[in-house]
Amino acid sequence: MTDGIEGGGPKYRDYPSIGLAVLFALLGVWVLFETTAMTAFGSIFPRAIAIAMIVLSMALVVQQLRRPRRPGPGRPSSGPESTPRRVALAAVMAAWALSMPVVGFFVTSLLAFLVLLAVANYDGWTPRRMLLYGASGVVVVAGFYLLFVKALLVPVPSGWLF
Amino acid sequence: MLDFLAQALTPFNLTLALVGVVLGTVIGALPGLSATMAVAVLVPFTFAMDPASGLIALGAIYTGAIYGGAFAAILVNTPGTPSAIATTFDGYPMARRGDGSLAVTLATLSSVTGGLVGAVFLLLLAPPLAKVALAFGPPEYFWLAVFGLTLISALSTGNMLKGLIGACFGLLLSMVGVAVVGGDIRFTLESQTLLGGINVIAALIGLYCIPVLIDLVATPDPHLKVAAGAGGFRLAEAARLAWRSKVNLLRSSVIGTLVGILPGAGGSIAALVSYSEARRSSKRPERFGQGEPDGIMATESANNATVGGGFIPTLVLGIPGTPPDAVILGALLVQGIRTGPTLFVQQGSIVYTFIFGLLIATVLMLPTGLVLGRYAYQSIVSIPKAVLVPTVAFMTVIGSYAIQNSPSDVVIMWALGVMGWGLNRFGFSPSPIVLGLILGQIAEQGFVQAYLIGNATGNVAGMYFGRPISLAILALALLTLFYPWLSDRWRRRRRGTPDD
Repeated sequence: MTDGIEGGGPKYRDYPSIGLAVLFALLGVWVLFETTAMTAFGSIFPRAIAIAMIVLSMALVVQQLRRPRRPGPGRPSSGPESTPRRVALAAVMAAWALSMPVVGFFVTSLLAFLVLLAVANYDGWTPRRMLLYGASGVVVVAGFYLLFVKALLVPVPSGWLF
Repeated sequence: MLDFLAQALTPFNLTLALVGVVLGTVIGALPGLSATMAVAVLVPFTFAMDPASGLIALGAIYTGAIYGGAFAAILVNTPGTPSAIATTFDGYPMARRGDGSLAVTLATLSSVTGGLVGAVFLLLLAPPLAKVALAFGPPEYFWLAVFGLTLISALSTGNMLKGLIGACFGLLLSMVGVAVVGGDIRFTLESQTLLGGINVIAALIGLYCIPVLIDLVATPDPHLKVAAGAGGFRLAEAARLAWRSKVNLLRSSVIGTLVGILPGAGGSIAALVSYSEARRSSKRPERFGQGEPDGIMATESANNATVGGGFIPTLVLGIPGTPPDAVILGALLVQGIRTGPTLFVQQGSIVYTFIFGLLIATVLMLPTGLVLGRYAYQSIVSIPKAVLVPTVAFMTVIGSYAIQNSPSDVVIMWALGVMGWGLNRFGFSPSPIVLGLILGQIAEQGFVQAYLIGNATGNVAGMYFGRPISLAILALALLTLFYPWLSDRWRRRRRGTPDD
């Protein structure tokens, strides 16, 4: 499971958790403010949940502040992981989602597929690999495009191109 | 009865069942394509068939699609259908450690068991069980949703407070858009896009799949391990595990059938409640969420049992138990079949032939599922990571788009995915958020409607705490929530006594 787990070792104060708890509490306050303009039936449930979230977030802040500071240089590093590749993946997917209705579904999908190939590849590029991976991109995108558009009749955005 | 069985066993009906299961499994395995969509897309093909054959085809597609959702859940941590959410909890960790083929085979065996139990209940006990659907009012739905939320205690490994905050956040996300009762427009930030709310499937794809993609590109490590000597179906090993957990399988199948009977509850709640119960009654609850076979067996047997369970109110009362049942109910009306309490007597040949056809389709799921599952597992393992990442990314984009043909859902999927990755880094796991998002509308609707009825009758407390089914569900929810603490106390007390 990829769910975040605090682990079974000694528990130290975690400042990002405190920051997130404060953000959740502020979100709860905003929800409470928004409910003032709602009817009684529309506001009762969000109000109850917002109050619960504020209380729980404050409890988390108190829990973290009661823990000792971590000795040494903050949060332990999780090993040799590439942050630029992570950011690149998120950025490519954002650009894909936003440009799809403007440029067209097929073209943006093919371009995004090829860029993500480059982002995810660690093995170096040989002409054979470039050809093979590129062809697989065309096959996957064209195959799913035809499945959705022709067989399942899903109307995908055509945009400037297609 | 044997006549109806013989009618279901004609070569044409057998072919329909086989093709239906295969198509349903493939569609269900693709994230974003739900069982409802599979049935809706293929329903026009059944209009030219005789009613029993058409129903067999639709039942086979439906049961196959529910089962197919497990493939993507196990192999890429993305539930193919919402009912496979809980399958990701243990399925993906099993695949990561090299037991993916075992997990797929276990899911197949469990789905077949659950499907058979649901169909047998439909065959033998449909009219009396349909009354259960009528006994459930708003307070019961509210407490059922609360029962589902108690699973947070199981999912909040490390820090219960973070799990509860995540669930509150998910509940608030479920309130975005037009209120289920009262019609208030809530938390839309003046955006028309958010008026329709946050689509659960888009959120699921984002919260479960995007973090996996972000982490996959961060290292050159292989995406899935393959354990030495762990090739093939691992059918004998899976059958041994399933036999050892027969009580879990049967209990989850019965829970799935009963939850399936409740209109609007569906396979996701059935799977979550069964998972919660399996964890509570397990001797190894700490292993749940880390690749425990019992977790997969509970969820997969329960979600497939909802197929038979959902047909009970559909056929007996004309009230669809699940969204695909609503589509099938429409197909029944087109075929000129009038559902109702007299259906089993007046049009028994159609209904019983269909039920036997559903049983046969469920049995056919075993060979087809094993073959398709093995093919899917080998494909995922053998695809280079550089190709797998853009392929899965493409499936997330097209899958979230296809739910409502809306580019906004793709943006929401991406935003929730990136946010989920960030939150997960600091111990806020995605599962409680998803749980809140799924159960939020059911909980709110039940809560507010019960309050309205209680207020009108002058007995608000009685609405929530004075109905026997409500109290039973509440007791189960409390037991699930406090069982780990209680059992720990009992264990300590026993250890402290001189007799031990």
